[in-house]
Amino acid sequence: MLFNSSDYVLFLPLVLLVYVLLRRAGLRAQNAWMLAASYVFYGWWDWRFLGLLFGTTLNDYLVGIGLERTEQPRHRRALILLSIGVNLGVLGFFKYYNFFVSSFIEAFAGIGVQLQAPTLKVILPVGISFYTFQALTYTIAVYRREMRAVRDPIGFFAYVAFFPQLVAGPIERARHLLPQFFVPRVMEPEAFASGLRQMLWGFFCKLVVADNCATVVNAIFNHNGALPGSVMLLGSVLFAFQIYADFSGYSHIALGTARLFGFELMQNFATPYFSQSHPEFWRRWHISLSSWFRDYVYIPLGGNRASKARQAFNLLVTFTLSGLWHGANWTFIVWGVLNGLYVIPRVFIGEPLARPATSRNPFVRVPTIALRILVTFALTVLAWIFFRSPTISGAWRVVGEIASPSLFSSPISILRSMGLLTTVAYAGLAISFLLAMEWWQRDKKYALELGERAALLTWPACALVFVITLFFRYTGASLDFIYFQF
Amino acid sequence: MSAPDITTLQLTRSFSWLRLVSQCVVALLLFAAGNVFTYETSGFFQRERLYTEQVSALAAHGNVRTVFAGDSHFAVPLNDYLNESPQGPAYSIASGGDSLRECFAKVRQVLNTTPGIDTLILTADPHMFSRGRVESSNRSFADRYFITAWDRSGVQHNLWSAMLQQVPLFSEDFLQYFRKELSVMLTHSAQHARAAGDPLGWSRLTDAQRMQEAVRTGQGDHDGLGEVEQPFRWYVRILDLARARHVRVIGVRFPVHPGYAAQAPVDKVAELDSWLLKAGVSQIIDLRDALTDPRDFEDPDHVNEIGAPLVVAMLEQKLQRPLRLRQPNIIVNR
Repeated sequence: MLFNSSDYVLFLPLVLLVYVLLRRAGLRAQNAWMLAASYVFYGWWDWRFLGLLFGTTLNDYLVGIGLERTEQPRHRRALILLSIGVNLGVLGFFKYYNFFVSSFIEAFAGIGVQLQAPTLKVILPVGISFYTFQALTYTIAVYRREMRAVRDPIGFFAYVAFFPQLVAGPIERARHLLPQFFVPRVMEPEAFASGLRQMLWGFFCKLVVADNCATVVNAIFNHNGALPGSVMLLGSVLFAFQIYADFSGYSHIALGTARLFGFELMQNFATPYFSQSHPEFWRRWHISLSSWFRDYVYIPLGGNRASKARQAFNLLVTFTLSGLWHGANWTFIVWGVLNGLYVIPRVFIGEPLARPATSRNPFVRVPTIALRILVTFALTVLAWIFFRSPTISGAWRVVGEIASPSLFSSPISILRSMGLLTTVAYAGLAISFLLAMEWWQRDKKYALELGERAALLTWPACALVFVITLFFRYTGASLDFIYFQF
Repeated sequence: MSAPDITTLQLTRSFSWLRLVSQCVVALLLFAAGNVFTYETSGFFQRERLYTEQVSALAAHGNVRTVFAGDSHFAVPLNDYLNESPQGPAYSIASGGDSLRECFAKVRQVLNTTPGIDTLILTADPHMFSRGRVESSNRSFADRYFITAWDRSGVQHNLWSAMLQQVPLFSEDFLQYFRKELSVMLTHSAQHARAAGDPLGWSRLTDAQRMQEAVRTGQGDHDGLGEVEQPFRWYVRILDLARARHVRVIGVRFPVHPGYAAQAPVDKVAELDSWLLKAGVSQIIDLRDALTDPRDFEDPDHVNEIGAPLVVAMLEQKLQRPLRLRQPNIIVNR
């Protein structure tokens, strides 16, 4: 089920109503209801994959209990390897089987050896990358003795399948979310109102910014024939905002929905396009995934406790795996490697322009900060081109056009001939509004977190966002959230 | 000493459930008021009201035995001409922009509510089977007929989604209309319909100009003719409806400019005719070249108020039944 579907408009109030009514019946009843609702939510897309979700959850539940029962290091290691193996095995099969088989065949074909290997028509189950990673945080935490194993299967199954963040995150840590299933949830009116506001902001991001940008981006990137550099640059910049608004929008709706039920999820985005460097960008972008890779890949590899060369290697491995996590395509791997390469120089040379960026003189500080933000954004857009393009050669074509003199040609006549001019105007206005709101609220978790501001400001701000969402939302065939495919 | 910020201090605290619920109620009331205002003032919903009133008004026409269903090719000449008299024997439920889906929804509605109908004159225009007629601008107007019939086959996602689309501010079709109007207003580029209200505007163009426009319009209208499945499926469903109620279905094509008609390839039209007859259409009346005087046309593919009586008279002759209260004698007079 999609958050932006009419089904969800019916589903959410119904689930919430029963959930509230079950308060007197106790925590287990509420958890059981949450579990049932989550399975309905997931099965709405394709009920056949419920078995997979159930199976991997059961495996992790039993591994957790096994880890607690045995003190033998060898047994414990075997159990954690079983959990990692099952989760990553399932993920690897559904997501990467065809990619690795075809890459293997192509590699051998390159040296003149023709191989035959079966490729399967494997459907990628929605959210598999998210819930397997989230489940792993539990077994690893129990293995490291950071938390006790959970005995109550209902609470544990509800944690893995928790519908607000099941299919596209945030990837929660067991230590943060799981305990919330075993203490009475307090539903405060302020938190409830905050949840509604965050959902509203999420819908604005998705329906107005992301979907309007998507119309233009899809038309430009799917266009048969060459387009001038100016149009390709516009498409690439709009894609940067499309993916940000799409994914952060999803996260806002997820966080807002969870808060209605008395749950608090981790913040997933913190105005990443205002970052002044790439390390900062990765502390603000898809925080739940980047911190997952930091905790479970980068630090176990040695993190920054090793030599600088080793640190650089660790970073490159972490970012490459992060790219691969996004999809079974070389474009994602290149995207990951590029981001790794952006971060690595900091290991050796530190932060460029760090001093003027903190100068007391605003004439020095402000332009420096603006320059750092601009450079970070430009490099991010360059990496997004690889992320968006279906092939690496396609991405190079886009980069080539942008680097050509056609960058300086006017895109207006071409956009008009493609019927995109009005949508570009809407997208531009929506992005401006998004950035203005985020800048104004940059120290908050989301742009409509207005609890500390005057009530006289809260209402008009929410009403304005609501009206803009109503009148300037994208109309047409429903567009999936981009991160569903990962 | 500066005065304390009373607004911030007093208005942001002490948030209770009662306050939240009352705020939500106020917000809902404002939203409802916004919907009522939009419904009452927007041109889009005025069009919707006319659309549904045209169908429901048939109930007041007690003598109707023949019903016309189609798009603007029927609606422009027929709606005013046939529907004005409550005692008339024929009635048009055609509307500009309708696809065969909308025709089906309305035909089912009128056949269910008007038992006296024995003949359905249904559009057989080739352009109704082209790619451009898969989606209609009247989609949400016809949704209500699918909702009331509890039939999910015609709605885009599901009935619940179609019901939400009936809320004016949730309607995507309204939103598109609103944006178009806004864009026209902002750019001051209102496209003026050629000589609106002047039935002879088309005839004042030169032959070459008429041919050029007819070809251009015809090309656009007939793009992908016969390549999409949906129109054929809806046609079959209309024929099934009629068959179940023993209603005869006659396929009709109204006069158009030769340049327009030529954009529908002859072999494809022959193929379509053969399919229509096989599917259960009892007769095809092709009047595409029946009128040649530009004064009878509003544009390349719509007969105007001058040509309407001529076409109706021709149909009366072909069908051997009256479609108007008084038999017009215009063909003889010309």
